[in-house]
Amino acid sequence: MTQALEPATAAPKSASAQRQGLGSRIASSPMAAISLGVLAFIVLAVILAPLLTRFDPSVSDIGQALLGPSPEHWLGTDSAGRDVFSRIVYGGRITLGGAALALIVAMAIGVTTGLFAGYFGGALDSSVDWVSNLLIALPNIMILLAVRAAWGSNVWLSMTVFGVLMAPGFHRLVRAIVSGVRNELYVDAARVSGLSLTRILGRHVLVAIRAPIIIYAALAGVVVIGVQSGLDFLGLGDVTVPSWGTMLNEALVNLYIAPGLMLWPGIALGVVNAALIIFGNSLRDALEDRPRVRRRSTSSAKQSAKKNDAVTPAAPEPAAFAGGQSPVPGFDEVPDGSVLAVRGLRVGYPSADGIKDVVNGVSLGVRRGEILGLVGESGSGKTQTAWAILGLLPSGGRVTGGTIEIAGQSLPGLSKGAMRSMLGKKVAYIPQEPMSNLDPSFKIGFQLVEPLRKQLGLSAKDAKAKALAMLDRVGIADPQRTFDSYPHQISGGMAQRVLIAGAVACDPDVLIADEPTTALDVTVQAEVLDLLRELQKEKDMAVVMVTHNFGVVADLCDRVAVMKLGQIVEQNTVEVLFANPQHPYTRMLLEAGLEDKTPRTRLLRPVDEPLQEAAL
Amino acid sequence: MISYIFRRIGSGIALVAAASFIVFALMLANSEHVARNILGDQASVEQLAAKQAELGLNDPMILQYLHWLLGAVQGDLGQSWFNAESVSYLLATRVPVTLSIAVGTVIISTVISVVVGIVAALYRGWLDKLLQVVSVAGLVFPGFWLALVLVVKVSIDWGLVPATGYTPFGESLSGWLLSLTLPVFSLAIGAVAGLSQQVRSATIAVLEMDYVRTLRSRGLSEASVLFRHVLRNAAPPTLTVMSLNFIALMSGAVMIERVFALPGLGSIAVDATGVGDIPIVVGAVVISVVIVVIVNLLIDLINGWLNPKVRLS
Amino acid sequence: MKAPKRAYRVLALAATAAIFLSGCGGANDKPAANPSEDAVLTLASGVEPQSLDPAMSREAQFVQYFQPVFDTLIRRDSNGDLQPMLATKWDIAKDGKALTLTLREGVKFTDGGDVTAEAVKGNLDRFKAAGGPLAGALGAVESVDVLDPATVKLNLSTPDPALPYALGGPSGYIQSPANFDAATVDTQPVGSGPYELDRSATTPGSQYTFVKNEDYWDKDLVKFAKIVIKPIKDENARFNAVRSGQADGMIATAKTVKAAESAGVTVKMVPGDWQGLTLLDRAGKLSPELGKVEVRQAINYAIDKDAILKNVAQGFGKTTSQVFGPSSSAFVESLDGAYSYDVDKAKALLKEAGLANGFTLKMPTSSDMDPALAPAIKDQLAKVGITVDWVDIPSAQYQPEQQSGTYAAAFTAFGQPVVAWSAVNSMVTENAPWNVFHSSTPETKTLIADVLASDEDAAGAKLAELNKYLVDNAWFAPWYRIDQPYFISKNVTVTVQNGQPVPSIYNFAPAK
Repeated sequence: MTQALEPATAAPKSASAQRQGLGSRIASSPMAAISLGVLAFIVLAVILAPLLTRFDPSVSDIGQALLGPSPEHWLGTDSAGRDVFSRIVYGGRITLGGAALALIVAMAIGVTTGLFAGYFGGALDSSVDWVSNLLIALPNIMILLAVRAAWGSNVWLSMTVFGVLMAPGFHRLVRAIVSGVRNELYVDAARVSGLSLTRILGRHVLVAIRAPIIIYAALAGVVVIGVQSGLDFLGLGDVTVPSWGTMLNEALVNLYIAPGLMLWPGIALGVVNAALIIFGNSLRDALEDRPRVRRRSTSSAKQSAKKNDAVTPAAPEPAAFAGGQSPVPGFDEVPDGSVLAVRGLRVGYPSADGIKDVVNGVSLGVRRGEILGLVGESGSGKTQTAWAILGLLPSGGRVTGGTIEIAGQSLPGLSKGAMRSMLGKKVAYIPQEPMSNLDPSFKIGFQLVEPLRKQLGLSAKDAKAKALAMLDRVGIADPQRTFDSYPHQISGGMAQRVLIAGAVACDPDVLIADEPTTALDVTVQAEVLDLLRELQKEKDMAVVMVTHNFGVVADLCDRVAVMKLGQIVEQNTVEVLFANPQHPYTRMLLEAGLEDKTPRTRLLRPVDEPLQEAAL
Repeated sequence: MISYIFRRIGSGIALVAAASFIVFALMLANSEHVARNILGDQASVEQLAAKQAELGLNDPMILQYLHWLLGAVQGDLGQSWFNAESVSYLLATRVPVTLSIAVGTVIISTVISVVVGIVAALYRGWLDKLLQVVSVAGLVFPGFWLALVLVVKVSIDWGLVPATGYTPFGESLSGWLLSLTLPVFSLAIGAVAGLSQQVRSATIAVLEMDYVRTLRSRGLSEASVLFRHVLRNAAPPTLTVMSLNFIALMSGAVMIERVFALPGLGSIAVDATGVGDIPIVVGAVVISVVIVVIVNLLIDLINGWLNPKVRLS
Repeated sequence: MKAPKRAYRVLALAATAAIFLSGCGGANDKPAANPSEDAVLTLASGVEPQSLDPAMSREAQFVQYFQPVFDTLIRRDSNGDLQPMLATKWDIAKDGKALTLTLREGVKFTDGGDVTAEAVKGNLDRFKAAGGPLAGALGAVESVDVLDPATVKLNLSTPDPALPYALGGPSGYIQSPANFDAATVDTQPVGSGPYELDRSATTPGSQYTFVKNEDYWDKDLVKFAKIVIKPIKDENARFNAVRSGQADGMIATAKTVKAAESAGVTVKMVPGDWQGLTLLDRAGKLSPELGKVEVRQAINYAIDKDAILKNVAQGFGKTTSQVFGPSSSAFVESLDGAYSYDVDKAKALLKEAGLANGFTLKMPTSSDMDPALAPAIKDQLAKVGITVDWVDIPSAQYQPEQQSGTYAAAFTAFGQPVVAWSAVNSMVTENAPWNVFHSSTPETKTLIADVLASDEDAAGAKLAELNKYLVDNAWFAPWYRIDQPYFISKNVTVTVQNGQPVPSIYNFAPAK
């Protein structure tokens, strides 16, 4: 009862979770299935109380008071000589039945109003919202006390009232989801194709709200049970009817004679609450689609990486290509004097069947003053390669094989602190989507100054001066104004320039640019590319330009590597590769890239491999 | 900003009015026993009738409510029917007790939850699972049951802390803290359980944000990333849950006050609703709603301030 | 946001440190008692008065709040006998219709005024007119005359044997007339008693502080420098207060006695309430079955009093079939065992009444009743064929419901006053508050009139006769009279007060 509920959770994150039936979702999570089973068992037991118990829960035999457990009274007797086990089982009817009633009322009201308010919005929404705020602000316990004073101790009545008080929780949850779903394209599509309102609400919307409601109801159930048993505990329940709360009240009255009376009602409450919470939590986790695999600790991964290193410079075997086409010779060339040298890099993620590699033995190298383009479609592993080099793989991912060296320093085995001092100073990162890569809560200037002070040890004044200078260098018109702005106040192009400034501020040797222009307007793209070229020349950096756009490659890069399904299939200088692409995949990409330029009339070469999605 | 605050205050006042009316109506629905409770079992029937008339209980409900409302808007919540003191005075002595418990629980549970939630979010794996199990355990038993167990074990059997009564802050700081220890502890267990999971998921969500990777790529220390950037961005949903917790605590404190015999808002409300001391009941509801409105407003303002988009508009 | 969060952490750390540091001081902060002038008496009370105006005061537990500030006209000593206080002597007229009090000279109120006959008259008139809970105690008083500055005469419309005793309680508290119309009459009492209320150390709901009245006229009655009363409704909380030394005295129930003994808390016992059923509807208006005396007698036979006494009252008490206590003149020893536990007899009586198939009896119950009682009674009456339909009532409406006339019978726990007439006036006379259906028979009318017409000695015999009549006609179905426990700490000694569930404050003394 003291536990508030969390605010409405958003719709399930992955589309696949929605597609998969709710039932199979529950079945796939053992905790959810077990807890649901426990709940079902308890409910069944409570309903079938007369079959399970030998005694009437209200019949007392004062001479048999406060006996311990015996074959006749499995849990002993209470202070009136009544059978505790019977009272627990029958008591569940009041406690659980009352809670269920409150939840049903709350859902009936809250889901309905949430559906309509979320779908139609407008005046309906705001007026219901006002009522909902009122109900939330009402002190629940006091209202229930007043209800009891007014209309007696009937548990069904007070639980109905409580259900009304809890409705706003469901209302908010459903409304948030529905108003989100309403704007989804597929709902518009359904409307356009003439589906009726009820069909739309029924099919699409109900599917979206189904699981969150169940989860919220499970957790709300805990609150309701707490309040219901709490009121009985205070002596406000109907004393002629057994319930877990009134049993606890009796325990309180007899605290010094029979404190053990607290035990069984407490356990009953505990078991039911635990089942509800575990069910809610595991259903929520199941919907978030997290594969469960026993993970080795990161240190053992480092160990094996070190071992590989010590034995031989990793010479990867070319793994079997999913498409069957072997890579073009030279695909794994690492030029001499490469300041960034990657050999046989493998990156893997845990999946249901163990670790699955998304980067399957990649070798590349970049020299100072050189720009290497890393090209491939979505899912080819190019971004994963980039992140692996930086040591910034998302949670779950790790380097499963191969080596990475920057200026001779091997990276995978480094301590966190050592890696951190390399980041920014030796190798830097320009991300793809400018707006989501700036911390919205801090000013631009702060986000530039912070790393400068850490990595270069500058004073606040010097760091600010340098930051302003960098902003100016990347072509921002009013550096001071941008310095003082928050990310939401600047445009996408400016944000990308800021990110570039941040990346090159400490003069890194290697720069990893992950599709830096993809998210920008076409007019801005060219400017940013020019900027990158200038900076690269100025600072003599080795640049890896990850992109899916051959136009960018042609514009900017000296060499290019083509990735497919986690492997490099072809690597060469730009002139050679463009003039004479050897791998069929390379050719296909190049032709596809010409789409905007000239109308295609026919394929230059036949394509015989089916496209496949990379599994991530 | 100012207009926003005024609008919220306006709707808060409307809330108070609606809530007080609802409770007033409910209490008046069954008020025949009030006079008997005031005068006791030896009073004659004539005395009862006189008392009933004196309290205005024979007037129409609307009239009684308006009479109360008129006084309330002038700041006078009336006189308790069962006590010689004014409602404001009686409730004023009770509010600090309940607030001490609620605020104390929020503070303790927030500190613990932030630590636990961040640890769980960072070190996924067995520690995370363990903390989840412990969280579930904390939510599983009702606060008043935990309180009962604590009273029996810690106070009665071990004699560590006084189980009952409340020592006002003004009287003795150490006494005040001691009298709050068990109540806050029983409530905090449940509060930490939920809040730590909230901190955990908010932190996980922020840790997956793109800008966290970019910040790390600049070479910032993990401490900076965590305590400056992640916490700052994980704060708003956490604050919202904290405010919900606080409101639930104000309600849930009723059972706790009963177990520990604390003279708080909850226990006087329970007693007053029972005997029919309508001025106290309505006064308690008013104060409750006012506190809820203020806390909600404060949290919304803080959240707004935290969000630069809102702060600058 | 980190700044506020850090502040929270610091505060929490400080708080935790403070807890641990102060914990060294221990939970027991009370200084060791010494029989010196610094002794403080802390009482944990199960009730809190609505007002400190004596016109609104009540008996039983409430007396502890009023005795410090107000003297009574007559004082009840610990045996329940009457002693002089503000009145040095009192006389009842031959016809019983007047009571003359001679007042003590030289007593002053703490506001400087004198306790005179005028002041006393003012108080008595006010008590009657104010319509407080016990206004009925002066119900027989028609008028009050001031004969001289030290003599007061109460003129009664009918003899009232309970009046002198009553003047040892609420109707006898004398407050300063200057305070009658004060705005603070409910919160700042002014009397002539051994202590004064310290308003600055008093918080309603939390504690009431009374400090020694240095000018009090009877030094022997003032044994403490200060009396503090803490209203703690919950018995477990009271018990913890006494155990941990935060309180020196508390009223308790049977269920806590064992725990008290093991905790080293001293347990005192005083004869307390009688508990059982009051069969209100003797004329059968609501429940025709109850109108038959055989049925009422059957109910008396059907209850296993010993079992209830053992399991609910933990054996602390004595089974009985009469509603008067041993201290009162109405008590007849043999009536204790008038109705034994005899299920067959009960069934036979019911058959005699034509109710061989039993009947249904509706009675109110609430969470105030011990949880074991209702089921036990239901079970036992069911054995003779009577089905009890217990109706759950919210606890604060319970007692009003019992008196509302909606139920033919109810579970009651009534005091057993030292003066039997009080009980008669409360339960038996036609307009008694607890004679809800105004039951009366020619016999009761005659006996009551006889009691009023007799002098003190003869009245006793008449009351005993009335008692027998009530038992024979089963107006009630008592089960037992309890021993009322009162716990005290090691810091004080106390003599229990006969006829009162809690000792008067005069009975406490610091432990040597």
